[in-house]
Amino acid sequence: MLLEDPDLEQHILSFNAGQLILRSGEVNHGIYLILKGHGNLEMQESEAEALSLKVGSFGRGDFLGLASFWNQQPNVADSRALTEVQCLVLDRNRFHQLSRQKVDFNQAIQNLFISNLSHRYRRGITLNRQVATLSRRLEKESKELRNAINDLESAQQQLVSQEKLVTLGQLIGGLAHELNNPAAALSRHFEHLLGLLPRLIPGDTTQGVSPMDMVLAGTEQPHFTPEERRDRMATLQERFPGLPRSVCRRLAQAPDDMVDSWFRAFGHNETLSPEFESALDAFELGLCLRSQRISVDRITQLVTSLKNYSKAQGMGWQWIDIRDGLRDTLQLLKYRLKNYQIKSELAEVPKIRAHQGQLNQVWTNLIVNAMEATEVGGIITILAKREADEIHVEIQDEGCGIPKGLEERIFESEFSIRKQHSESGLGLGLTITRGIVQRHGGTIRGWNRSEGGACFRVQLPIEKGELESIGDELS
Amino acid sequence: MNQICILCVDDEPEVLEAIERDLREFDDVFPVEIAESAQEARNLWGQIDSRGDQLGLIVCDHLMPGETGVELLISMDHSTTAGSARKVLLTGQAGHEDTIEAINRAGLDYYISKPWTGEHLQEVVRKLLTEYVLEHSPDPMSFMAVLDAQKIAEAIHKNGMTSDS
Repeated sequence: MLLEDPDLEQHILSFNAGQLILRSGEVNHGIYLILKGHGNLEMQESEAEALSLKVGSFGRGDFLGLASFWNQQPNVADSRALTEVQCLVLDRNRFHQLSRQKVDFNQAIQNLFISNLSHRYRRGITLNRQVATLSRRLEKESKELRNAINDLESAQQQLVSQEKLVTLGQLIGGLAHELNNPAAALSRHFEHLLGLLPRLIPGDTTQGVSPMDMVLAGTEQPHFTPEERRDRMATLQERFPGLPRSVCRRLAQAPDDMVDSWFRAFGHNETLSPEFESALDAFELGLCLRSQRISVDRITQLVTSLKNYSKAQGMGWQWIDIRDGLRDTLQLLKYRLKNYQIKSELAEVPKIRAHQGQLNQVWTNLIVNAMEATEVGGIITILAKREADEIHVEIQDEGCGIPKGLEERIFESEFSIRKQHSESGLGLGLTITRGIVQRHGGTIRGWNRSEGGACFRVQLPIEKGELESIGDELS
Repeated sequence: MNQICILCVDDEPEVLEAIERDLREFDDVFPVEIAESAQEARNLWGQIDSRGDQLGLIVCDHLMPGETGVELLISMDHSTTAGSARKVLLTGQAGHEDTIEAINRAGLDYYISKPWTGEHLQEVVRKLLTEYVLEHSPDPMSFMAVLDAQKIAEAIHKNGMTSDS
């Protein structure tokens, strides 16, 4: 209809490529019909950004400026020609003129509007859907990135932990050495003491009792429990009512036959004779020496375990008996294990090629976990045995067990079922533990026992050593 | 009988022996009882009660299998029979919080950390038993030989003057 217009030529506008046909923010007073060419609708991304975003396009047969013409609002977007564009413009005057002249003009225009607007509306919905899809994808990628960052962070933390442990290991190594010297000196001096004593203490017997023998008897005397001592004291007080309590206490430290021989030799009165006292003193000297030797032995054992444990950190891969590391670890954890009953059954197992220090970390982690899950007085069992071509080490406890369904997840890095105030600081977490076991070609599993509590089993392959395989070939 | 007893508790036999030996000088006047666990200590405490004696002082380790020393001291402090007994913690392994518990809830009288010297332990025991005796004994003078004689003398003198009639 419009094309019937005789004045058509007047209302055709041409634009070059890159020119703006309609400007955003301006109120539009014409309807533009694109006759030739195409272009983009553009908007600024934001106030600050100079970058233009393409928000739509138009081509031959499309209308521009319909909405803004109709409701006299400023254009929302720029309309920019991409190629040379020719459009037929219907300005307001012409519009009103045509409205008056042709009856069905308004109707036609309205239909045009509606179809154009509904087309745009549909386009809008499609675009929204695309936006939504893209947003979801973006969020998913964002989440994956976050996970990757978390993994990296925890890997970094593990590295830092490892390093801390190496440092700690070095410090402990130094400490172990420092302790070792005085411990060794104590041991030696004890022996020297025992050697000197016979030269100073009268060896000849007085009334059948040799002081040096008394000293030696004291060093060999097995331990009486407090209850046994109380009973012995009570018996002595009954037998010798005149004897002071403190004397009975001293006598109760000695075995019956010895006490009897003293009474036979020295007689008894309200107080002990000087010779009796001497014999008793000699015996007590022996008891003191015994206590000292026990304590020195304990220090030495601890220091040895400490040395082994820390040395193992720095050593590489060697042929080892894994039971040594288990024993050292148990020794070092002894004071913390005081409140639990420890059962260990370590059967004969062949040597394997392994990193002692790292395996020690595994045993420490598993035993400490067992402790933290278990009530005071509970039983923790450590087993080691050979099963076909593997060594199995199991740590069993009677504690609260692994939450159902999480037997696999507890080995993952973010997972923690540790108690709030975990004082251990020794365990590295099951993630690192698993890493170490895997590096040894082994596997680790945790499950809940039917009797209650959890069991963790480490399975390590036994490589055939050269000798072993030769032996097999020969047989 | 009505003797005032000392109770020593430690789960390490060598340590317990050493404490016992350190307190030997008090044994004739204040019977020394020894226990290797809190449970055993409770049994002895019961026995002291039932034979009509009093618990005057307890020297106790903290970290022991089963019940800890601080837990034991807390229940003693809340009891009628051992409430006024003097309480000493002799330990190397009580953490900060446990010690605060002992002070606040167990009425701890003294804390000695391991390793200790015999002299120091004896000094503390003498001081605390002197306090106890002055509070609970009708005849403090009978303990003068083993305890802080000067302090007992002063207290008797002071009381003697106030009961002037």
